[in-house]
Amino acid sequence: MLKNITRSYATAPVKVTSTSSTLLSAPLASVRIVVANAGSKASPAGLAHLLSRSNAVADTDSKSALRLHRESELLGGQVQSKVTRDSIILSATFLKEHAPFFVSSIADLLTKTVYKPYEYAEIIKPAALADYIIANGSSSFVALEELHSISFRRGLGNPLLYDGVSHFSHESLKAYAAQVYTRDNILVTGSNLNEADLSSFVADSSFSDLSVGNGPPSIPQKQFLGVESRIRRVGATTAVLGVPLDISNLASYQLVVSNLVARGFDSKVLSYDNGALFYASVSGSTKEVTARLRDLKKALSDITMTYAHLAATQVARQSLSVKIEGSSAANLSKTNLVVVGDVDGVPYLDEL
Amino acid sequence: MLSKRFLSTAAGKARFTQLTNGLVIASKKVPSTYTTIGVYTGAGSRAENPYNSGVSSLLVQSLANASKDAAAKEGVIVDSENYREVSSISTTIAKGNEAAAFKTLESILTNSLKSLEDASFIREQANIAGEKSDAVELNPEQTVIEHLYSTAYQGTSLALPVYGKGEVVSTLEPADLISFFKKSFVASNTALVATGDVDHEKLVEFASKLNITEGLKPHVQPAQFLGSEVRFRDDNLPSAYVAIAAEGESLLSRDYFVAKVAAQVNGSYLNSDPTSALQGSKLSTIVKENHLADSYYHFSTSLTDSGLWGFYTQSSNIINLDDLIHFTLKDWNRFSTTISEVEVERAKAQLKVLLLSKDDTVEKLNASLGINAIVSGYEQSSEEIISRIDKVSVADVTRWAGSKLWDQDIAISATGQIEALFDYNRLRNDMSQMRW
Repeated sequence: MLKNITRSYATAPVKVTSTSSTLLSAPLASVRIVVANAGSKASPAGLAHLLSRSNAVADTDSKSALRLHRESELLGGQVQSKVTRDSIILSATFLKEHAPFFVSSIADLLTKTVYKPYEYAEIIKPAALADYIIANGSSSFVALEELHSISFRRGLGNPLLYDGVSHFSHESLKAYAAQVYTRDNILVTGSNLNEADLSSFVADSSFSDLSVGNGPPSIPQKQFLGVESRIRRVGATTAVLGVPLDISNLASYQLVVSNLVARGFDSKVLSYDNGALFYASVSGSTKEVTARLRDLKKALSDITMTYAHLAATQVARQSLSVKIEGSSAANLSKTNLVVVGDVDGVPYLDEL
Repeated sequence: MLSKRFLSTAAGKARFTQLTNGLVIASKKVPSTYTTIGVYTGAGSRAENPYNSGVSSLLVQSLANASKDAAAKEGVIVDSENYREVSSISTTIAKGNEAAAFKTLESILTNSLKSLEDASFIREQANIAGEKSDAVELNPEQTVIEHLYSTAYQGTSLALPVYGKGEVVSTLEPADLISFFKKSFVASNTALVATGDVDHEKLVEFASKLNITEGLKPHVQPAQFLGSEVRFRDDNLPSAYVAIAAEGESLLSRDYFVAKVAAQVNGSYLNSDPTSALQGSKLSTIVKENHLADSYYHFSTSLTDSGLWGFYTQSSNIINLDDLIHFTLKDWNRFSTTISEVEVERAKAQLKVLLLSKDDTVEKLNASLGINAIVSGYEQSSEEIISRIDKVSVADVTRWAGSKLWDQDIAISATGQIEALFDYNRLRNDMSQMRW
């Protein structure tokens, strides 16, 4: 009996869902394949980014990368792959009639990619490092990365992109792919596609070859508050105040965000599967940053909720599922601080 | 069957109404948790002159910012945007809060003169606008494109930068804004545009109560393309930044989509992306093999009575810049002679997906609808766009290129390390070849 239950779980199809409620105009359709628990929080530093970069660039058993690119080009679409802290996301937008091609191509990327040593060294690693160099040019990107790092340390605190520090090879990619590309991690979402049709495309593709994983790793995400970090570097200066949160706590911080945005600060709640991060940032010259940072600290200490309606609009605009009404007051007595750039004149946390 | 068809085409088809005073109301129902409602006016930087350059951008920015705080308390986000031929003030609200958006727009339009008369407020806004226009010059790509317009359309108001000139914007006074407002915010030059969960009838009802002055659409100088160049060599920048364009097609031209398809034949290229080695276009192969450029993209942008067709490129391989430009222009020559069916078909497929997926937010959809409402009072449906692209043949591209690209004058704009960019006549000669 028990054996049967295990077995029926083992052959359960990949999760598929589809929506027609989309901004995409009718002749087009798109698919989005989210590989949960595969993002940077679950991998050694940067490996998730490298794996995501290898998608659609490395050859597969069934097709070379060149052939896949040229064929998709002729159909007008392109398979894209990106990494987030939670997951690796593959997606493609195309004319509706080409859905089977793109679904089966993406399935092949997940199941049939061949990781070759020279492709890793000559294509994948340089491409990942180029991403890192471009992202690193922005002081606000560096500041947010550091904020994640000091607020969460491990897990969500892992660097999002590969920075060249750790040593990996094509074998590491192969092992990581086998670990995360599993049936229970994958959710296929279609837009403008009939759900039954999409399910049959998925069933006909090599998605069914995916193995069953061991379930998501259950490492609790730790949070750290009251810490600060300063990075000296050339360029614009950015200061970020942040608070790591539990997901249950989003609404009250969303209210704070709307109040800060209405007062001209850049502020957001970044929400992940197992945690969230509230931040507010200021940028400019050292003098401007110091003055604005003091304003920001003051704004945080006497937040009055004048902008509850605005929070509702912002939540709708970002299509978040957060219920603003009846949320409790946010606790902002303690925050984390990151300063990037010309840090000399900018105050420390206890001097604010 | 009937109801099914209704459902599948209900989303995405725009509705237009014109009131007797000339005001156009456009709306598009799309599934979304929020709605954007904006007032668009057919007065962007093209409606300015060298002495009030930047006034259109400062005007919409001031009107939006004057109402921002009161609007925020009611849950309304107010934005302003400025283009060459259109400028806008938009409100965004969560589903069901239309009343607040209407209230905000009404108060912006009725209290406009009061907020524009406040000299100290305008001074503050002019400083912000001046900073915005100065920021353009820190971005080489934006600088090059702005200067491409200014050289191609020199002597007309189309040459003025979209956000104005920093030194002019900061000197603008309330009187400049008020006279520009009175001239451009007249009913026949304005559209009320909404995208999201909107009721067209309610929008029309609101529009008919709006207090907008009647008046004629202000006259603008016709566009005049002039083959010419502008260079700003700056060896402190890390790369060379160059844009070259011939005169393209206007928005309502019958060759609008032919020019768009032609621009897609070589499309875009980003050297750091590994797929750049896999691309099928002939130009990308040459550029990749010899590392001639870091990136490029081809464009076909259109105005009401003219357009620019060309490309923008950025290259850190500065000593081979002449090769990059030469091979690109030689590739354009092929459009009039030996372009293949595969290239055109690939371009058509890519253009369809690109055009239909570029507006991926309610705000972008609303901006496109607003521009269409002002320019033509009509918006093509997705099906129409697809069928028009389908009709473009190899013969069309060859015919179009033969008359618009082959041996035509070009406008050149460049900055950065451009020592290796040949002089105008050498480049102009590359627009044709003797052996054909």
